[in-house]
Amino acid sequence: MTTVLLVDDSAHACELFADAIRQRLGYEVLTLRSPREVTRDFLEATSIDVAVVDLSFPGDELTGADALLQLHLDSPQTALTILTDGDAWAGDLLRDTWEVLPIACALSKSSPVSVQLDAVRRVVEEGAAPVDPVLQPLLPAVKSPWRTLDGFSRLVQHRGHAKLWQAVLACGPTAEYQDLAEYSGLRLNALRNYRAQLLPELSLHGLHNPPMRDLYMFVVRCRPFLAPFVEAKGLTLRAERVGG
Amino acid sequence: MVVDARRHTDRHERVGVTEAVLRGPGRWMPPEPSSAMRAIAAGCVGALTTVGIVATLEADDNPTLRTGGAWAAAVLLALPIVWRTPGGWSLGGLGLAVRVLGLVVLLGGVMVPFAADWAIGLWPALGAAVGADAALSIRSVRRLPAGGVPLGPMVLSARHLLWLVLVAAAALAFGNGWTDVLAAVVAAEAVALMAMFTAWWALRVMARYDDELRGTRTSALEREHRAHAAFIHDDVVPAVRLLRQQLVRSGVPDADGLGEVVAELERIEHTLRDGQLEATLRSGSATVAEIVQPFLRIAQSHRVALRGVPARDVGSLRLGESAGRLLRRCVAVPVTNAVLAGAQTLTIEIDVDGSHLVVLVEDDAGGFDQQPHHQGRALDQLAAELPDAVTVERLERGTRVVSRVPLTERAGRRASAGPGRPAADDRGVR
Repeated sequence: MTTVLLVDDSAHACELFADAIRQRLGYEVLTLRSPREVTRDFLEATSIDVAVVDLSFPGDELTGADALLQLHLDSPQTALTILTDGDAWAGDLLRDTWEVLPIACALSKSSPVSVQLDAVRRVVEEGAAPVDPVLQPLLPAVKSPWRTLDGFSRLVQHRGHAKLWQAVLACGPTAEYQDLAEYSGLRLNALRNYRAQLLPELSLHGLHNPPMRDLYMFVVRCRPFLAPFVEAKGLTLRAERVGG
Repeated sequence: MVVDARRHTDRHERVGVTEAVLRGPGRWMPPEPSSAMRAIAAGCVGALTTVGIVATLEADDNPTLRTGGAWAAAVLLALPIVWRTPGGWSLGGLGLAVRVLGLVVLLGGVMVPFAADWAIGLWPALGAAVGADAALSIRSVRRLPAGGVPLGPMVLSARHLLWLVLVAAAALAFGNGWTDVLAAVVAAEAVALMAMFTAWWALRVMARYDDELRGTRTSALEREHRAHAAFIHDDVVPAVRLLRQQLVRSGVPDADGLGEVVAELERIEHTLRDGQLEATLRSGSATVAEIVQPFLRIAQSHRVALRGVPARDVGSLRLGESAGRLLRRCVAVPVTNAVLAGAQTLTIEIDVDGSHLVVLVEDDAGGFDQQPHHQGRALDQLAAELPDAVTVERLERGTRVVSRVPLTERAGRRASAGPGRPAADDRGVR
């Protein structure tokens, strides 16, 4: 029997949408209220055909990108679907996730339930469905071939880069180089050099000579994708609330 | 002795004169570029004053130079005092006029046989002072040229060449030899070039500072609006949506007014989002996607199939307030007409064409009479707002409305450019 996993903190999705899937499509539905519940143990114990994951979890430091990445790594057979309101403030997170992970479909929460159900059915039967028109203005017509999970390794070429990302995330959007230097223990010139080294790579992610705030928002959104490479250098990336 | 001064903390503080002199303008001026300009100008004036006094004392056999030097010294000594007071802003133009007077007087000194090398060397400093003051004056009357001062064309301009010819002619008229004429031309050229270069550089720095300041303000507004948007997204809309779905599922007969309640809840959600968009438009940071999305939602909620919508390369463009409002009207009017007329499909395309956004909305609602009095009032009003920029075409099964939205505001940036995409440079795209 087809199993659909819903990861959303809203009662609308976890109760009503889950019921609609069960009743109208006849699929089994599992629901989780937080991306923290999408663990390796859970995925090893469960076979999931389609995962429908919200991106925003108010009050939680993790985002839907964390859950989708976990699903992609530990349950690669699962077709990944994003369910989001599509508000522009979360648009960059949607774009990053959609480009980096193999997303089968992106659904708008504001669409009629029948449209959402039809998309889920197409993902189950055909493996993918068109992106919801409400979300299309937030997504590029074609995915960039340069934005891949492995591609994030080029943003953490050595321990100095890892320290830079760690400091950017920890010091916040209004930080100056002096703050980063104090946090990381690196010299100002070293920090500037590390940032300059990353500029060509950052431009592949749509950041052209980004100011500190843009750099901060990037690392907040893409923390799940950067974290493994930072950890490989012996450091950690602390999670931050998205959208601030 | 102490002087009233401002420090980097932007608060007034009394600083000892000795400390102010020893530590320089950085000690008593805020870190705003115009203050840096004042510091440069003040430094140049200080040097000129010293040199002017020395020149006056040395040239005791030359009454013109002595008088000119004394005038210049007095003027140049007085101006820094004006600069250092808050009222100095409004005196920028006057300061410039007085400086030009000083220049004329000092130049008069050169016209007579006097071509000491060190005297020529002081003219660039005078030029820097004039340039900095001119930049301050331009900025104080808020006439900062959008593209800065075009240095190249200015240097090669006919006025500049005329200035050199006049200087040479004046020197010849005073009966000087060719050596002195050459000295006068070199001195005048040094003043002019230095003034132009300083003004160009100063205005560039100040324009960049203004941009950063504007960016900081916009970004603060944007953060606030995003926080409101997040509140609506996370707390309000889900509650409304849940209520709506529960009502639909409850099985209450429509005769009890269920349909109206559900429709009202849909309207509430739309109103909330519209209010959120209104705030974003006011901040001048709304993207095309944010402006178009509410109408895509309306169409979807009325079961209208969306055949085409703008992609992110256009959707990510930020618009200034007036362009954003016009775009909203250009989408709202035909989409609302189409939905009310019972359209089954809808296409919304937006492209950038030079300094315009071209908005196409096409429906299959059967079309309408193209006589002006038959076109809805809203469409008439839109056409009146954008003369010759709205065309309505009747199709076999529907209507196509094409509008051109002028991007009349300042150039800016994309919301966050996609990979490999250049920043937008269209006027009005922020």
